[in-house]
Parts: sequence; C-alpha cells; structure tokens
Amino acid sequence: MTPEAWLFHRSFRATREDPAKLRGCGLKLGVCVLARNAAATLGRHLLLLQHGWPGGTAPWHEIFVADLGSTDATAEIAREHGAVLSEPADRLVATVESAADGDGLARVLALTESDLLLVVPADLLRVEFGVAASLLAALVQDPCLHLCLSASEPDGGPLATLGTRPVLAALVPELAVVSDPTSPLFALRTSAIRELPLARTGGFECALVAECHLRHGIASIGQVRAPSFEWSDRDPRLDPGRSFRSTLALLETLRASGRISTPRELGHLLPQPRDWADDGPRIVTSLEIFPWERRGDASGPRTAAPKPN
Amino acid sequence: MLSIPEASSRPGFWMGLTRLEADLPRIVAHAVQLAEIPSATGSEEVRAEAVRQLLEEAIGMARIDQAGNVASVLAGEPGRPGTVILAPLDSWYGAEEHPRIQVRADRLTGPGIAQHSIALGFLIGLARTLREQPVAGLGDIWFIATVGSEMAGDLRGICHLFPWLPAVADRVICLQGPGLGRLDHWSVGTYRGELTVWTPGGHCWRDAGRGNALRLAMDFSRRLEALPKPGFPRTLYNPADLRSGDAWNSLPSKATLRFELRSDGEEELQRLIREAQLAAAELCRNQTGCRAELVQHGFRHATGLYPDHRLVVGTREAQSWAGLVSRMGASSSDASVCLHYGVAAITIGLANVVGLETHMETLYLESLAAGARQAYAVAVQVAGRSK
Repeated sequence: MTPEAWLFHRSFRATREDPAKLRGCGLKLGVCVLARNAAATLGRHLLLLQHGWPGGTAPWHEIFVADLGSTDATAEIAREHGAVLSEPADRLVATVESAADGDGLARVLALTESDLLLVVPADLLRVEFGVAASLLAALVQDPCLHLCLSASEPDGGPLATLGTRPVLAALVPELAVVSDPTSPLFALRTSAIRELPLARTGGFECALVAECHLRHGIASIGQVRAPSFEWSDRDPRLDPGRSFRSTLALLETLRASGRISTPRELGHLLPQPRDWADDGPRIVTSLEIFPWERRGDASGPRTAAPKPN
Repeated sequence: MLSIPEASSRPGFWMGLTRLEADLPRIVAHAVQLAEIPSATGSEEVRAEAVRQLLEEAIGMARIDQAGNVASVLAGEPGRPGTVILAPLDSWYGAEEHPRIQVRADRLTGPGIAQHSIALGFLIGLARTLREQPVAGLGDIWFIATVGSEMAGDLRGICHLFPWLPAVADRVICLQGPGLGRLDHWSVGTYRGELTVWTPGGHCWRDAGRGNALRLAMDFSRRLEALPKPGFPRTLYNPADLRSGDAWNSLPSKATLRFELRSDGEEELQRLIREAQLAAAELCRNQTGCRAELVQHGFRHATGLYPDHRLVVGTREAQSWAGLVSRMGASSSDASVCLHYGVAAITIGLANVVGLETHMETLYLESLAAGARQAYAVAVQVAGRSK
C-alpha cells in the first residue's frame, strides 16, 4: 500500500452516525482507561462512557481502569463506578516510576474478553464520543485494521512533530504518513495486538505503531481526525522524559526486528537484572523503560500473561 | 390539575416513573456534559445546540428560536390544555472558565452543575421518559430551555415566548437545580436601576464647593436606605455596585451606582421606584453643572399565585408524595414573566446543593431520586388536567 493509498483508505473522519454503527456490530467492545492520580477526571470519564453515550445505550461489554500507581482516590472511584480495576503488580515501584501506561495496557490485554478495545488516558479532560466511536467503527468495518489512532492535529502534537515522527520518517519511511504515532487515544483489535510485544512505559504508543506495522503491514493501521485534546493539569506531554522514552522504545522495537543494528551506545541505559531478595525494593528511574515484554525473551519479567484461549 | 391518586392511576404512570428513576445516571451524565459548556448570559449558543441535539435525540424534534431558546414539543391528546416545562440555559460563568465536574459516587462538584445544568438534564430526561413511556391522557407538553434567565439577561428568553406561550399553554413549570422541596409560587418584584451622576470635576482643594459625583451618588443611596421598608410584604434596597473616582486629589466627575429594589408587594415596589425617581430628580438641585440620570435595567412585577391556587396545592401534594417538605417562597425567575402575563407558573428545585455559584458547587446525588419523583408527578398532574 502506497502512502497515498494509505491516506486515502485509512484516514477517517468522525461522523455522527458512528456511535449508532457500533450497536449490534456483533463484536465485544471494551474500554481501557489508563489512570494515574486521576481522581479529578476519572469519575467523569466513567460516568459519561457508561451513561452519556449518544443514543443512550453504551456499547461496552466491559470497562477497565488500569491503575498506573495512583496515590489518590483513583482506585476507589473506579470501584464506585463498577469498572474492572487492574492494579499494578507492585504499587511502590509503580508509584515512584513515571506512569507506565504500556504496563497498564498489557495488564488489561491479558484480562479482557473484548474483541476491540478503546484506550483512553484519564488525563484527557474530554473524550469526544464521535471520535471514540469512529475509532471503533473503523475496526468493526475492516477486519484487516488492527490499530486505529486518533490524530488531534494534522501533524500530531509536539511530541510527534519534534520527536517520533522525524525518527520514524528516517527509519521507517512508510510510517511517515501517520499523523500522530504518539496518539494517546486509540482503539485496537485485541487478538492482533495481544501477540505484539509491548513497551511497558509511558510513550509506548509509537513503538506499538511500529510493531503493528512490522507484523501486520501498514494496512493494519488507521487514523481518525480528532479535535485538539484538552489535558488536565497532568498533561503527559509536559513530561520531559516522555519523548525520550518514546524514542527509545521505538528504537528498541526496530532493533529487535532487525530494522536497525543494536545501538550499543544505549546499552548503559538498560537496567541491570537484580535479585529482589538480595537488594530489597529497588528504585526504578524514569530512564528505565525496560524490562521489555517480548515473547521468547526471558530478559524481563512478564506481568501480563496472554489469556489462554 | 390532577391529584396524586388521579395521576398515579393513569395508565403508564408507574412505568414512566420507574423508567425515569432508571434513567437518572443518564440525566446526571447529560448534566455533567452541559455544565462543562460555559454558557454566559448572552453567549448560550454552544450549550443551546448541545441541548437541542439531546432533546432531538430524546423526542425526535427540537429547534432553536430567534432568541436562542431551545424548544420541543411532545404531542398529547387533542383537546387537552398544554403545559410548558422550562429550564434555564445560561450559566453564571463565562467562556473564560474551563469548568470541570468531579464525579464521585455520592456527589458532583464543579461550577454550574446545580445552577442549572441538572435542571436541563431533567428537562431532557422528562421528555425522553414521557415519550418512551407515555402516560395516558396528557395534553401537549412543551420542553423549553430559555436564554437570558440570569441577571444580565433580564429574562429575555421567556419574554420572547410571549404572546405565543399563552396560546399553547396556561400552566408553566420552571425547573431549577438548587433547593429540593422548594416551591416558589410568587415572583419577587424587582427593579434594577443604574444612577449616573455627572459633575464638573476639578481639584479637591482649589475647586472646593463644586459638586462631587461620588458624594451625590452616595447621598442618593443614603436616601433610599433611609426609606421605610416594611417587613411584610418583605421589601429591601440593595446597592450593588458603585464606580467613581480618578486621582486622590480630584473631585470625581462621574459616578455610577447600580442598585436593586425588591419587594413581595407590587404597591411597595412602585412606591420605592417613585421615591428613587424623585431622589434622582432632586439630587442635583442647586448644584451648578451637575446632572443625574436614572436608567432602568430590569423590572419584574411582584405577583404570583396564592397558596390555595390549584397549581400550588397540587405541587405541594406531589412534593409530599415524593417525601419532601414543601418550602413555599418567592423568587425571581422565568416564572415571573409568566405570572405577569397571567399564566400560572411555579418554580421547583430538584436537588440538595451547597456552594452555589462557586467552583465547589456540589450536588448530592442521593437527593435526585426525590427530585425526579417530584418533577415527574407535577408534570403528569399538570399535563393530565382537563379544561
């Protein structure tokens, strides 16, 4: 598929009819809300996802809240609203580390029975239902599509424009047409994405796009134009480490797939395996984007085992 | 107006009530969505469009009129009198705010959620319920969200509905968020005036003896303050805003005083207005080069329904049935205009609220069930009446 053909066939606009298309689509739809200290916004998201859906009947089979190590009332709010709460394996590590969005998604992917999953960062102030529905509707209509991203601006946000898009354009030119490979609001086909390795850090989205492309081809990725995102006070784009982690995750994806040679000069950033029993709880720095969850790679612990069929 | 036994024996009543109670989470969700759309008086377009879409989704048709009101109708049995249910569209905060509503299991917190987004949510919820689960023997019910109901709007939305409104309905129910059990059957007579005083100005020492605009405005205020104001009917004068002055050593050349006169009695209100006009006319007497002008910025008659009016009695019965203790009172709302035009109108509150008109405005969710029962029962009682 040429970039022009991709833009023509895989770039969608949200329509008012999309929410209705999801009803009776025959697939199980789920939501995964990635939340870290999101007490101010999480209740609102859950209320509106459950009861504010256009037309009244929300299409969700299950709603997950992946807690990324919150220290506020996030978990309590998730329980109050009847969502399935997935808590980090080790709250202490998750609390001192920067938000491990990828880890949260991996946990939910291991739990979910849904065919399609909408991923929503709780730090977003508003989730446009039209966009959310369009993301899922694109996956419903085309079985070849496995990952559908929202594109809040033509060139993506600053993280995409200044960070990942130039790297992608240089190393994987086919993906240069993707407007926002760092988009935090996206939908995925669980059966296809569950097979992929997933960086367990914040900024995992770009590596996921590259991984999906390498495994399933550019035709498995789509995008939906979205209005500009409004973030709460905890705008993840303001996290100075996010761009670095995103780029590093992308480089590791490409290295593992053989698209680039091993960047030995980055080796010192990899964590040294330690035995917990010997050292006690360790402090994980924001640079530590690994352990890497990769099938057949025993270098890192696996927190989210694939669900047995 | 039907009594509660009569209303509750209508086919569909209990099914409708059950449906409305089950719909409460959706009503709350819509209220949250609407509260997060700033809708300052005069700039209600975005929220109006959102309400229009929701009403259209609820009952199939809704339109925005020239004034900006959103209106839709649920057709009832021919030959029965019509009913209007109103809720205000405007918010006390403007587009400079970025309102966020915090949702917890027991409460909603954030600007505008109670005043009056929850009323809009109920307006839409009632419309949806009565359409999806019709109650037998109801007349036409108009669901209207009005613009300009806050102070600066001077009720321009409801005013725009006249003289059309009496042609389609002779009973009006105004929904407002705050005050569960509240039953406002009386319109507080209100006069909003702005006094502007102009004087030659000058230096306070060199030009001593010239008129001082600020002092004259304060004299005016003092004179109104000194007027006798009876406790019954309750009457008051409220100086709200005084602007004047330049430098420390200058004689202010202009002063503007905004004030409000309020009374439950029309005669008292008119007496105060006459006194204010007289005071303004006499303010600059014997003051060379001074001028005072009094401009009216809003007026609402003191009028209402007596406690034995069938609408008031029926609403009290509905509130009692919903487990609420009626708190009868007076207010200044869209109902004021209806009452002035001879259309019977009441205002009811829907929820328990604290922190009104602050960023910590908090609505307690457990109060909504009683608010819903009350609003539903009143709507059926009123819409089910025969001529």
